[in-house]
Amino acid sequence: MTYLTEDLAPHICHDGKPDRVCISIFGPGIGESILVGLPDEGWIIIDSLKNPDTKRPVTLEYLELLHKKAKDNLISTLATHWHDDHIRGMSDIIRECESTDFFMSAALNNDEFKTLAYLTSEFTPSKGMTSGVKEMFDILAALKKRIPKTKIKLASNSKCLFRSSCGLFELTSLSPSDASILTANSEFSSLIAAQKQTRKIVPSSKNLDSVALWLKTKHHNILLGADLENVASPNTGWKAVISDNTKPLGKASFVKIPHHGSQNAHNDDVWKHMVSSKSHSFVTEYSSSKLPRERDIERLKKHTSSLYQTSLSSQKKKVKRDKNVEKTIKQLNKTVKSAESKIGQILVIFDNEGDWSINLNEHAKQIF
Amino acid sequence: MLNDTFYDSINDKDAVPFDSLDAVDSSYFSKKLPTGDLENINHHVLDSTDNRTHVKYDSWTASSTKKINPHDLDVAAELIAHRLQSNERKNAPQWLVQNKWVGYVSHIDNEKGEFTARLQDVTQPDNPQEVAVFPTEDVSEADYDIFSEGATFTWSVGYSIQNKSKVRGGVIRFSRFKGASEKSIADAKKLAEELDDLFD
Repeated sequence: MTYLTEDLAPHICHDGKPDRVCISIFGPGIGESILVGLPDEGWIIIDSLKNPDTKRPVTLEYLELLHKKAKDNLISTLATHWHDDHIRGMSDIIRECESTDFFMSAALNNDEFKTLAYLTSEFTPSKGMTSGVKEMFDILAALKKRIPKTKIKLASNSKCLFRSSCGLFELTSLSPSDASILTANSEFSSLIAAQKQTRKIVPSSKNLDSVALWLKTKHHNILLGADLENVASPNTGWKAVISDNTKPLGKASFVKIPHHGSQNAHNDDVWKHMVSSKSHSFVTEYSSSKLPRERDIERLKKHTSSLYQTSLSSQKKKVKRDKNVEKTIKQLNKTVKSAESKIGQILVIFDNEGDWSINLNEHAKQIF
Repeated sequence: MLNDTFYDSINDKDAVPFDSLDAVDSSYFSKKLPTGDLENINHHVLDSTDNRTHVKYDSWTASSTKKINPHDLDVAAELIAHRLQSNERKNAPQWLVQNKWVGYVSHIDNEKGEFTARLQDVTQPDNPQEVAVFPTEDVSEADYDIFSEGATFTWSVGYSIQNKSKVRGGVIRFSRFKGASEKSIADAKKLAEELDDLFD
């Protein structure tokens, strides 16, 4: 992949620190990772994914390319939730960057999740088969080794996670709601019980413990939807965010679409009450479930002025395979597709006057 | 019955050696092997002193498998059964593996009667992860009890050869790992308590 650095680095980074507000969204076909730069403050990593070629977290690689000291200015790392496609490689970040704080969903601060993490920490059915719970365990283990210890900070509804000294920037978590935190215990208990019959990869669950974020800057609000979904209960998911009257005021001009654009994560009220009518949006792919689908794109057209996607299914990484094997697969009437696209990067740069530019590497694309 | 290719390809440098048969649920083996054989296996079985796993049985030693994931009863049972039945196998159809993947069930769609799986190519390990959709009817009856989201399996495609005729085919085998015991859950809980000092 090619990171967006060559011409743009001098505009966004000075002596390892961000020179202006900038947001990079990375997506490889499955998963996503976001890097936020706040001038005079430092960098914040939200979720993580690995470069399949180098096996290193893309955000760290990118920071190293920007400046040799950039990693030293990583102030916070946040896991929006524990699913594999959002935290792959995050333990490497925690190990390499001793200065970074760590934030995670308050729904994970319970005995059941920590027990599940320990229980599955040594279970690797095969090389390359990764698990989000195991990565969470590695993060917790890396934090435990730190001297002095770094306390984990918990994100939940309407909680300010970071405020800059100048007061211009504020990062607030919008979820999980109190109800989601309370019900998380029983979900993790069920996942532990499921390991009794036979060990297996801990399957992904509903994304109700996911941390959606609100970034306030001098001129713009930015909504980072994580994987938060919309369910029938008014006390969880996006409905809980809408009904929470302590959340930050204002409307977002930029949106990272939640949960790869799925219908499950759509809430009309979010678009109506929390997002500007002329917003610009970004979506990452989840090719296992073929997200976003054509109908998701059509729906989003009604709500946002423009949409950019980090990677496209047409740019899948090539699979090397013998012709005879292909013939057998075809004869068995099976479709086996590469799940990984080349990593796309969308870089939004804001200047001090509130103007902005959206930059794409060769794998990302404007959809409309 | 799978051929030697299967055993060569399960070697995994991350896998840990099989500790001893004490850990193995012998009732599971009894499903795979005749009673007499099971008795012998209980007495002769495995030697992991050199950090590799060898199955010793009567006059032979099966050492084509160098390491076995300690939880994978299926693999151990297959290895033993493979050697026990090697003579019978000469006349049985030969299964030639062309390509093999390991995978796990990422989603089950009961309405459509299919499941989606994330796959990693074992034959071409440098290949990116792949996604495939299988009809649920591809799951063998013996695996119904462990077929669920998160369950891991191997998928092999290749030829079945008998009487000089070749037929293309595929086999899905779900991995039957030893389940978490009450003790291991209690131990994990105790260790988890040690994480409390990471939180305010």
